[in-house]
Amino acid sequence: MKKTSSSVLLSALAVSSSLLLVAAGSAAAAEPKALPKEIPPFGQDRPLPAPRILKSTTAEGLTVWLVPRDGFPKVTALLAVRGGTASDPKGLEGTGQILADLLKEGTTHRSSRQIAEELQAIGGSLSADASDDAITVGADGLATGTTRILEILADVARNASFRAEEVELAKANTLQQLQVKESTPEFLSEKVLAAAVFGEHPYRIVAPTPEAVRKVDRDLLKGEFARRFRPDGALLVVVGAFDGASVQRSVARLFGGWKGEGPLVPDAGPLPAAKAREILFVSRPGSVQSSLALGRTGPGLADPAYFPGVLANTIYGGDFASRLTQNIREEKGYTYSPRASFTTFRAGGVLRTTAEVRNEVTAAALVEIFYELDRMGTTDVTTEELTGAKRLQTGRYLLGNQVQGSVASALESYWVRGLPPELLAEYVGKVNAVTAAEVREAGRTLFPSRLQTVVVVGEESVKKDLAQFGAVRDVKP
Amino acid sequence: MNASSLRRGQTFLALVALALPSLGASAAPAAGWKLPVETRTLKNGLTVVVSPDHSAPTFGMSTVYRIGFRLEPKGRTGFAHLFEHMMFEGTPIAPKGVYDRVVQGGGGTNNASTSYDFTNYIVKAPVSALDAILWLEADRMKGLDLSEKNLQNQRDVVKEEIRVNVLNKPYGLFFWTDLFGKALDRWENAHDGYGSFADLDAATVADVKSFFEAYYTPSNAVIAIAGDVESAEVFAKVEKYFGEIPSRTAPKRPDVTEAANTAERWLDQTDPLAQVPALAVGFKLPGIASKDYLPAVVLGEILAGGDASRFYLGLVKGKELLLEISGGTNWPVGSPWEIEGPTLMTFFGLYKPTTGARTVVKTMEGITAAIAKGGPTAAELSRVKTKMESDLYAALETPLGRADLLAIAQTTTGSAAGVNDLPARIRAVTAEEVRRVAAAYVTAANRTVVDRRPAPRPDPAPAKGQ
Repeated sequence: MKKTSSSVLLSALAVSSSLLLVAAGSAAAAEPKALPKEIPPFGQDRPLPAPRILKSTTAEGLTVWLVPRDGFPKVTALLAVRGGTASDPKGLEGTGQILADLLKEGTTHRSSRQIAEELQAIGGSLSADASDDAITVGADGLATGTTRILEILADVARNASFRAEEVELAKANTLQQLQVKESTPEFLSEKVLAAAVFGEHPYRIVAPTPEAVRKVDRDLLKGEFARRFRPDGALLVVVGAFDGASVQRSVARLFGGWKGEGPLVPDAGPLPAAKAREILFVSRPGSVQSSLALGRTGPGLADPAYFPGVLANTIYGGDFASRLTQNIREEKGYTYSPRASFTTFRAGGVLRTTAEVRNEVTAAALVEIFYELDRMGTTDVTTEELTGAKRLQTGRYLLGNQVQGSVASALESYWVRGLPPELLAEYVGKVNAVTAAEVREAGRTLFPSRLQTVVVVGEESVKKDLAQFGAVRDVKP
Repeated sequence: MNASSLRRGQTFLALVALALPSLGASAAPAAGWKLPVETRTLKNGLTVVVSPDHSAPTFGMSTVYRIGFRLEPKGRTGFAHLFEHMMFEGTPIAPKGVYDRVVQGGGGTNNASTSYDFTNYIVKAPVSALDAILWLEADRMKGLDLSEKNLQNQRDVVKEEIRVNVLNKPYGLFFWTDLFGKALDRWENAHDGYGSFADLDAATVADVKSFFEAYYTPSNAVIAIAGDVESAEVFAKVEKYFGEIPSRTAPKRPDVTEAANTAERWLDQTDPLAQVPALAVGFKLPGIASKDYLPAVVLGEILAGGDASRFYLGLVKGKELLLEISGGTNWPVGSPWEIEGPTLMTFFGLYKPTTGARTVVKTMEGITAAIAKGGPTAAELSRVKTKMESDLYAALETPLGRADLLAIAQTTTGSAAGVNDLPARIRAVTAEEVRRVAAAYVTAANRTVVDRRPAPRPDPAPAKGQ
């Protein structure tokens, strides 16, 4: 279980170009200039802390993962159920978010105000959100209020009431929120990119249509609530300063007798393959920047191709030191916020690049993004880049481990993806086992610019420069 | 929320969601929660704060300079923030790019932000990178390798930052820049900290040099380190890396205080990118040193702190005038502890097309008048104080959170250790103090309102979602 990361001295990085092994027949990117010799070397890495996760299942089938820790006097609990917006009924796609929003608005035992006040009294609050694959309710507070946190989560999960006046208010607010979202370039590009990348797959939905919102009513919500909120399709994660045995007793009491009926929510099907490059243009009059979004489908977290992909993505666009940031921000000044992400779902994953650039450099920025994407498969990454990306991932593991909410979210995301909590302890080892050749292979398979869907949201005037990269299609979001 | 804290970059969290494992126990101090805090000042005036915690092999470090956009030169709006970007452009020994390579090679991440009264440079990393990162911070405190090319590059980057956060976005941070600009009178307090493009264009390498000479001196800086370190070890290392940096005296902070306003101020705006109307309401407040400040923080939380707050229950629920409400004391500049002052108590909401800004403001006035008359209820006050204490702990959960708040508190109040007194001071606020502050500051005369409505559309798209 325990993994000690290798120690790397900075001075070793400084001379690494002379030690670089070049695989036969492959070119490598040039090593950067040696670092100044004045910089002190990194010290010996201290051992990674070992995980302690108490796993159990209640008599009703609820999966329970507890992570008791000393110190920081708060507790975070998440209750996740299978069945997010990808499981919404036909014609009502995206309305799973309304279901989630209404979970905060009262149970058969508590009004929305009582929930808010009870949690405020223990220094906490309640949140609820629908992702593509799950609906997750979270509650937190001071450790002295641990039992209250669990009581409210259990009450919400079992007895959400969907009062008629709360349903009407939530619908009206959702319709207005849609208007707000539609006025932002990031929502428009996300919506168009998801629709193009996912095709007919239900992950294509990023928000409900106004027509779908209007169709929502109390009966529908109660039916969907009963279908998804059931112990055999749910996970409870609790992280923080509590006694494991005592929380296990509370959980058995509070969730005892919880039942589900009918078939479990079915899985969404597999994702479509990456598609040949297409350029989609969304006109947004008055824009002073073009919002660029590129994306494609990729492997999921359980796929062996995931870890080389993560490291390749880190080197390509994952932080200030990444190639994309150095190129289009630090050298060319085209953008403030270039960003590459590799996120996963229960079915597969998606790689995305986004950047907002001033109108006149729209095409110039795109060609650099294409260049950096294609470079991932055409040359090996440098030793410094690979070592740096691994150390960054290890550092994030350590730093994330210190945040209660992050630990809870990571575990919840594993469960949603059908993976065990042990992945937490194995993550850094899997990252460190990746070779330069595997990163190159990830570059060749996941990063070619010819397999990226490109969305440009902006002024009509920037469109004329896009045709040189391929056929441009106007899209109304 | 930290909307007007101008950042070096957006944080790169995309990969982290799945890379955030758990495990060991955090051996932070138990309930009651006092952080160990040791402070020392070097001969050159640099103040060092240390807070050891051996629960995980990491550290957080925040280097805070007591200069923000409030005191940037006239005719150079946005300069303090542009300067923050220039701190990453290299030094005579470590050219541009080295800083990020070393931080990432050490397994760490970095950022920086500029606010009214300070600029902070933050790093978190495995503790094996401590020496290298201290060296980098000391190296750039010694001097920068400035070039016209790098200045032009960061000028371009900052303009893109302003486009993405202000010019290309509905609402465009009007609840910060326009509201503060209207409510406050002194140039120092009222001008736009993001700056005008004309002023950014006018900035020269000589300006960067003289700003550095004036404000980026050890005596104007605090460096705080929290995490898997010992105090003696950190003091020795800071002495080794920073001790030889020559001291200069930073300019004395001028008087920037303002009296409460005597008549309501109202600004009507149209927004070509928005589809839903919004309003921002601000009340001028004194700085953090005032005895009224902490009761004002409590009042802000009573009014807009979450789903049990009076504005939420009265305006989002209740009369259903607002789609949502955000706000509080020093919002959206930062948390209430991240300012020297003056500042505002601010509320921002999107309102329903069926109502108007004046109706919302009048309804708010009814809610605040009740507090100015009768104060909060005992149960309400107790709940809110507990939530504030809990939120404060959350801000201190990570070593970087601790280092940053300790360094900022040292800078804005002269006492890092004072962070440990905050829970008791919050507990001590009385209902009468809250009532008095509501009556004194949350008044029609001290109120500034910005009403921001969608501009009429040349091509009237059918109103969706109605």
